[in-house]
Amino acid sequence: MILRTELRRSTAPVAGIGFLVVSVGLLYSLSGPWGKRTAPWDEQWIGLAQWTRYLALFVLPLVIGVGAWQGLRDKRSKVGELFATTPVAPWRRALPTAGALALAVTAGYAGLLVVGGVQVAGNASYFHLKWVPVAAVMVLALVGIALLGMGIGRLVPSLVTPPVLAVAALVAQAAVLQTGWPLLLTPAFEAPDITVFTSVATSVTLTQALWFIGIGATGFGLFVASRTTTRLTALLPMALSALVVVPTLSGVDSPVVADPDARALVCDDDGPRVCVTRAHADYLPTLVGPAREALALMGKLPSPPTSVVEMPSQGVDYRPPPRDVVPVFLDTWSPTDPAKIRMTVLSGADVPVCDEEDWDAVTRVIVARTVATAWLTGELAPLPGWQYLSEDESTKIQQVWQALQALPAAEQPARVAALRDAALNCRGDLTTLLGTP
Amino acid sequence: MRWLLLYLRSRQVAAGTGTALACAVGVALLTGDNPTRQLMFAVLTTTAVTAVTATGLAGVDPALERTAALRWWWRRAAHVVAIGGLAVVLGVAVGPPVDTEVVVRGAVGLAGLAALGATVLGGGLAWCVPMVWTVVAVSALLASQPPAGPLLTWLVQPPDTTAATVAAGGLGLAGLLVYAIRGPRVQ
Amino acid sequence: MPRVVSAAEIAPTTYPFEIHARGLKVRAGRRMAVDGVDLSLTTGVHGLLGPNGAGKTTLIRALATVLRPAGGELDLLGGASQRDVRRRLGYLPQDFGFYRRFTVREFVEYMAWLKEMPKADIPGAVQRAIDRVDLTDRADARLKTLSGGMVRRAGIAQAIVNDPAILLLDEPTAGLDPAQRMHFRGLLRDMTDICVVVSTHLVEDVAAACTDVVLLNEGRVVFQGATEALAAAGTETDPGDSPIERGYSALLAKGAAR
Repeated sequence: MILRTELRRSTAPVAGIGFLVVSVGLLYSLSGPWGKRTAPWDEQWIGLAQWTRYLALFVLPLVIGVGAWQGLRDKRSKVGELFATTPVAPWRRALPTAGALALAVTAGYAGLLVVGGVQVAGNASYFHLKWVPVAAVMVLALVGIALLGMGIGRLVPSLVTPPVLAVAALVAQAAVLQTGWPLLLTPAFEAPDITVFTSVATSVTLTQALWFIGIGATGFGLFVASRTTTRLTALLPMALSALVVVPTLSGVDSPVVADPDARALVCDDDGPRVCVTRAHADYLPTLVGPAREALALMGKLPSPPTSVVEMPSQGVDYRPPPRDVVPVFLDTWSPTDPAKIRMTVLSGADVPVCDEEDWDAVTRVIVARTVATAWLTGELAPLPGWQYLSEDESTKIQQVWQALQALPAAEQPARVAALRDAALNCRGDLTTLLGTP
Repeated sequence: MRWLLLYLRSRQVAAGTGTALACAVGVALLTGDNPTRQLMFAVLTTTAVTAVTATGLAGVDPALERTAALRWWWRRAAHVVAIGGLAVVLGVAVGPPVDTEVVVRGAVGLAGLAALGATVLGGGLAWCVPMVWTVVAVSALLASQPPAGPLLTWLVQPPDTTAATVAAGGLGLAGLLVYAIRGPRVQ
Repeated sequence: MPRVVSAAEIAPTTYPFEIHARGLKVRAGRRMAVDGVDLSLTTGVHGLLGPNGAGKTTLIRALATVLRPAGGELDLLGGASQRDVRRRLGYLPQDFGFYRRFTVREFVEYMAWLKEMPKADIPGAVQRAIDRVDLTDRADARLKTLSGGMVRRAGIAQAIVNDPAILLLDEPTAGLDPAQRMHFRGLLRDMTDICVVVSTHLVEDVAAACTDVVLLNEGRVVFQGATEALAAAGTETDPGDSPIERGYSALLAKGAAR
């Protein structure tokens, strides 16, 4: 009964609805990283959980500010004297207030999950439950931060407390971005850590859960305590959990670990093998036809590749695959036009360049790839993603193309294979192959 | 002069300014070298100053103050201008090294938003309005540089972006006028 | 709306006085605001009069277990534990603070819950309390929309919601219009089996509703006795517009002269 009253009359509804509105507003009004890459928030379950946590980066300051405002209520309403004459224990008295705020922010986050989840259910083919603990930690974080705000609001009942706390939270959150392990003390993730091929390490999840429970317990304790001794005792949960959490998290290299289920291959073997990862299993039908056409075209090469396989990442730990496999990356885009898909597979469009720093080396790679693809398709066309070439590059491409066509027909396949090997697999010296420096 | 001193005491300006200064220094200490970070922290400094001093935009009893015989409107306007000025001064003196135009633009817009917050939500909750806007702007900044939608994210646009300056000026003026004419919300 | 009366309520009490104080001393800030007060109050309506700064509010606060006595002894309800006393206590402070966004009903319910009333009894008790203070038509209005007098009546409602054994009211009629004050006096007259202490400046309220009066000055009891005795203590020469006021001034002057 009292809980219902508090749910209606305290800051709880504002906190819950405000959280939902601001979050959904941010997600839809700005085209941020949450809509791109392999795990957009509305297309993959793990993306939903992790991107909504990334977003909390910006909503947490408002939550703690509203919590502080709630903590001010008793002082501003001057109910202290009247409540001192009641028999109920202070912690019992605080339960409905704290509970209402906790319920409200949880409901707000659940609403956000529903908004995203409805879309993910329609879009994703890779279903798993690994995202649930990730989302649960966010709930603990929201409740913990709200309670901490209430506690500090009670401790320092000045009108200045809510804005100071809100700004401090935003500053702290912004300060720990891109600094490594301190970010793990907040519920947010760095954008590169959010992919469909990884999930959050269980140890990190458990440790963060402990951390936020400690924060929540301290917040509730501060909200209830009135004497200095009890206030100091209230700081214990946070201090104790910090003792465990900080050493554990500071040793963590990366909060995400590879998800073997997502990386498992789903293959179509009616013909030359075409595989995608389970995470993108619904793309296989689109990929199969054009991939096999590309493989057929590549039959002109000596020892042609025999399969097309999706590789999970094109990041730092990319290793060129064996010679008979053509890698495909579905990280950032998955075209639907068959001709485009064929071109991508043929030209190795998303394969990382061997040495990205040296612009000359990149130019050589692009030239080699363009020429090699042109020989396979029979016409000179720009690579997908490299439509705008400088005059220098266009001239170079023409030169090498002429040189290649000038070679005797028996030598051309070997030369093209060597070009492809050097440009795609980083095996060989492009400078000599291209003839001119 | 006496009136000014009493007014400053009634609005707890000393405590508010002191806290704002402490916040500004604290933010400045965390900045670092990355220009995006510097822009972000400059914005956060301005937000800190305006949000904290916004609590002084309403006294303890706005209903009582409304009954005063003196003309409030220009005094309220002066208060808002003072908040903006303080944000500029602290931002330039203590804040990260960004273009002064960015600081001034942010101060004008956020002071206006704070005044708007005081009129709509009352003194205690006036900080919500600049805070929400800052949150949106910082999210946009981290999403892409320069951020899209200059009218919405005027806080973090590069200097010399006309749309951003117009937006900031418009919000500043609107907040100033509304607060000067209507005064803080009577609870 | 009748309610079920439990056996415990109609059992005879085992103690002679609800409020029993011997040499009570209570500090307010640095001053010893209540300085050696002997008080024995049983059921009935007792008025507490005295000039400003006499220690009335401090005494009421000590009786309400808000302040701890600095000296002397204070037995409430025959030495019951503080928790038991608070369950059977009703208190309306002079600065009545409340949650502005709550409605009257919600706030009185909240106070009933804080006084650890059994959950099942709360709705009925709340309705009865609201009816007794005549706020039934505004029961679901938010407290911030009510006038000062209505807020005061809501305060009285929360004080009586748990059918207390000790009812302490500090300035209960502040802001009430004459009709409401008469209604309040009627309310007090109905409370024959509770120990009510009403601290007020309005002597007419004391005259009309209180069975006896305690007159406090500078932390000490100057007079304790029936209201008629207070009225009789004054003569025509003393300042005042009514017999009670004249008796009040006379006793204060006598106390000051001592």
